[in-house]
Amino acid sequence: MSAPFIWILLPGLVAFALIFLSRYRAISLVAAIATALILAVLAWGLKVGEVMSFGPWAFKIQEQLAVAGRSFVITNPDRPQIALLYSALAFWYIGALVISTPPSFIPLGLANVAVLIAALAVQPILYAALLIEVAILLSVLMLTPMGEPVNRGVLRFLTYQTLGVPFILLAGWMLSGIEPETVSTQDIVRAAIFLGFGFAFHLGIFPLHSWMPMLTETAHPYVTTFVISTLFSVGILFPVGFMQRYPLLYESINLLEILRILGIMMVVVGGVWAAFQRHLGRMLGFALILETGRTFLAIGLPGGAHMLLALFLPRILALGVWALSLSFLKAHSEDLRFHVVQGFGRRYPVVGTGLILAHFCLVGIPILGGFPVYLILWEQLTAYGSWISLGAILGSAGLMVGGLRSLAVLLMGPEELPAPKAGRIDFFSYALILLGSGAIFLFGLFPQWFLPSLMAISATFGRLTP
Amino acid sequence: MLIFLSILLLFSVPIIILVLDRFRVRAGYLWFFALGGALTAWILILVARLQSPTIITLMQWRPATLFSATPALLLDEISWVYAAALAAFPLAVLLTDILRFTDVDPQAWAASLAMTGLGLLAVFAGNPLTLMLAWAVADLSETFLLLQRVPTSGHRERVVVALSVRLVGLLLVLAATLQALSLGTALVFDAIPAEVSGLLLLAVGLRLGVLPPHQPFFQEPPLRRGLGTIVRLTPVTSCLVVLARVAHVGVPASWQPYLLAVGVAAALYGGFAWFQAPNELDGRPYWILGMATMALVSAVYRLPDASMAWGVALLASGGILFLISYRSRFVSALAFLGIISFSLFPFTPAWRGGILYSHSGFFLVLLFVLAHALLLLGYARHLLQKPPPGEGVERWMLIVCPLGLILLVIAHWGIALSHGLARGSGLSMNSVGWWGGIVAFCLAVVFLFLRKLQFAMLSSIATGLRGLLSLEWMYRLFWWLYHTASRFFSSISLILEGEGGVLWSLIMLILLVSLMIQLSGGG
Repeated sequence: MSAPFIWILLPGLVAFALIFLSRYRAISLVAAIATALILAVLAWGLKVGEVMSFGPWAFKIQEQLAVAGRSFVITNPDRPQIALLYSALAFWYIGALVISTPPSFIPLGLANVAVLIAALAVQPILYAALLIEVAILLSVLMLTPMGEPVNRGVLRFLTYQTLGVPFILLAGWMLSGIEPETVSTQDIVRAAIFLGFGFAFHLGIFPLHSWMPMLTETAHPYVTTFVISTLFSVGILFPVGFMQRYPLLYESINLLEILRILGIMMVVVGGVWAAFQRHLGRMLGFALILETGRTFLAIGLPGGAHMLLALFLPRILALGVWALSLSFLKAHSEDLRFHVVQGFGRRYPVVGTGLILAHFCLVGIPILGGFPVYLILWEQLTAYGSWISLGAILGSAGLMVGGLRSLAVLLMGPEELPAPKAGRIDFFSYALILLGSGAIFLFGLFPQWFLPSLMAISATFGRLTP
Repeated sequence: MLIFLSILLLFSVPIIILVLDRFRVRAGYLWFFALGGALTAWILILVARLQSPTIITLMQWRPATLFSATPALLLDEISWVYAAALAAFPLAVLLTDILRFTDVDPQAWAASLAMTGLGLLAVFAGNPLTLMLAWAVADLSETFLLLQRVPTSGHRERVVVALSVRLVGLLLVLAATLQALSLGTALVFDAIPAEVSGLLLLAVGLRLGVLPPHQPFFQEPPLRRGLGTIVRLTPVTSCLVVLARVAHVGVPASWQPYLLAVGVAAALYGGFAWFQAPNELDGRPYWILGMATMALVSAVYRLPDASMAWGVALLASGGILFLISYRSRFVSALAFLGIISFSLFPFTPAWRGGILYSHSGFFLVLLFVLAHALLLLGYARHLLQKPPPGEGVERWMLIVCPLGLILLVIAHWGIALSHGLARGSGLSMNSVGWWGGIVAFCLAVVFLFLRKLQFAMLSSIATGLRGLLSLEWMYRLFWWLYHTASRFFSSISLILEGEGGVLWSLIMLILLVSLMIQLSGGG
């Protein structure tokens, strides 16, 4: 048995089987959660390439799986990333227990993660672009429920993601067969430029970001947030891994400074635009842009890759609670425009509280989950001039204005609210939002319980260690 | 350790009260329990002075190499003074609540104690990180508390506006912390770099409603007199502590003229509006504005003692008036002590506040004395409007209720005497500072005796000033700018997200890349 079989093929097969269980949503969801959790636990516990024994049985999990002349390689340092991806998938599925999602979300979500892991594992890297495109196509199927026309947000998403693929392919082609020790500066810079353009499309780097707010405005908030956050979590590993594989890049161009400039630009754009939005879904889109910027800022710090995981946990918590709350609101109103959801915070106080807390968590308000990690980031940025950390605060201030406007809208409106579109929200939904909100507070007040171990895990990342 | 215990007590007693209330324990017992908790907490704070100065690390944020600070409490002279004043409030509120027996509400008592505990956390904040955490907890709790109690959409809007202003203040403290780090030094309260003191002052001024002059709090009626007073004064106390700390370094010279100009405007506006308010509860935001401005201006002049004298007077004298719900001879005498306590008379608790007058130029002194006179006048006016005790009030209530007021008077005088705020060192008899308070008091007395004249005159002046100083024009300008910017950003979004959006994005990308190449000196 090989590692790629366990973490790529096996979930792929389960996903295929889940398609046939789509009619029984609860069963397929529980099966998907169990699969994701088991795969995450296996990724934590199983050692690749070493003989392991269970009682009388001894076995060795191979690192490599060859398919049609290409190989997929998963080594021990890759396991924490895989464990996190499957843990995150389980987290998103648990949220789906209490909200209605398109039937395709359950099987295709699992398939999506498996394909993205395949993209990380494939050799040569040239084929990663194709696998990413497959993941994007699967995402489109998730975002567009059966029988419904593709909306403009999904179309724009597909356009930008597909435009990025040729660039990644070209970069992969340039690098195929070249070893880090023998590569010339010219070659590596050229490949880096192509890869940069490819991932600029893929990750929605300014000014190629317009698909993000369009998608969060038009598509299902929960599925959209899952898709963007998963694609982003894997997507960001490629440029980081590339940087670490070819350290020559640091010497030939001022890469870290470019990353910081890109990061601060996205933080400011995301924050400032968020301040002027009048749609709760679009607000989430701009928060995602800001978060992308923060990640670039972190990578732009020497040794900042260690912060990726520290940023990951509060982000996924906040996005989960935010998306869950938005999905409830969307299910109970016509859409998420400000004038439509006026007063909904009074009708659904727990949902409103969850939404605002998650929003403020990403702003970096003290006592909420994002604050300790952002504080580290902001403090480290001061070494590169006060303008950059003040720019980062400006972005947060913009997002905060957006959050306060959302709060005002959710609280105000007519004293007598119109009849709700759907019925009451059940106890489990409230419990899940409250649990998420509690976790946001816990992380914000006691970062010492989480951060040291998260940073230690980051240090074991094969592709991330500088 | 004692301060930690007192804070812990102020958080645990409310939880027990709420639990007991669920089990329908009689309100009288709960009141006694709350009173016992509040008294113990206050005594612990008073005794804690023996341990000053002390730093208590609340928890160690890790990885320690990455955090420049970790949450900690600092007990020193500044924090002790304000903590002793603040901790007296739940006690005073519980005692005076006796008279408002129709409003028996154990939840309100629990909230009073918990809010004070939160306030003490902020007052004892040992570094900006703890201050930000404490402010955030207090802001979110207060917002949550208020949103549950306010009845209309308009009120809720004001709660959100108040939260917005405070969060901006919080971000300014964060900006000050980062600016200090970029200067190569960590921001700590016992050595605030002069370069960032302005930002801190701006943060505090914004939260207090002084910079620019505005009402950081929404209208008062939905709140009760007791809990309302604590809810209003707790966040103010946490700001006054920071003011006293900033006062040790002052602000950069280039900031001073602007801050003084805004300070004069805020003090006059606060004074006029306080005097003109229909009652002391409606006027409470203006009282805070007027008195806090005096504390802020003292900080601008690097006068920590003066800042504290004004700050403690804001709490204690204000607290006395806000907690009085009827007028009798004895209560009037106590309230008169409240007036005297912030009159800046020699040997009274706020005497050192008069140093402010010694440091200001002639014109500024005139304006500050006028503002001070208006604050005194308003205080007297609101006191004289109090009704006599209503029917159904029992005799024992009339005995217990003033105990709360006596407590505040004793606290004010005790704190002032022990800290030297009632000492006149630096104020000679031929200095303006010595006479400033007396002049203001005389001015207030003259106005009071010429009641008809001054009411008409001051009302018209106040109406004129309100148009200018309420800064409605500034907010309108702000909204215009906001909507203009909104239209601009919407247009760009429209272009990027429209049919030709992909092409526009690509053009922008090419422009951006060429710009970056140019900037990096490439060809």
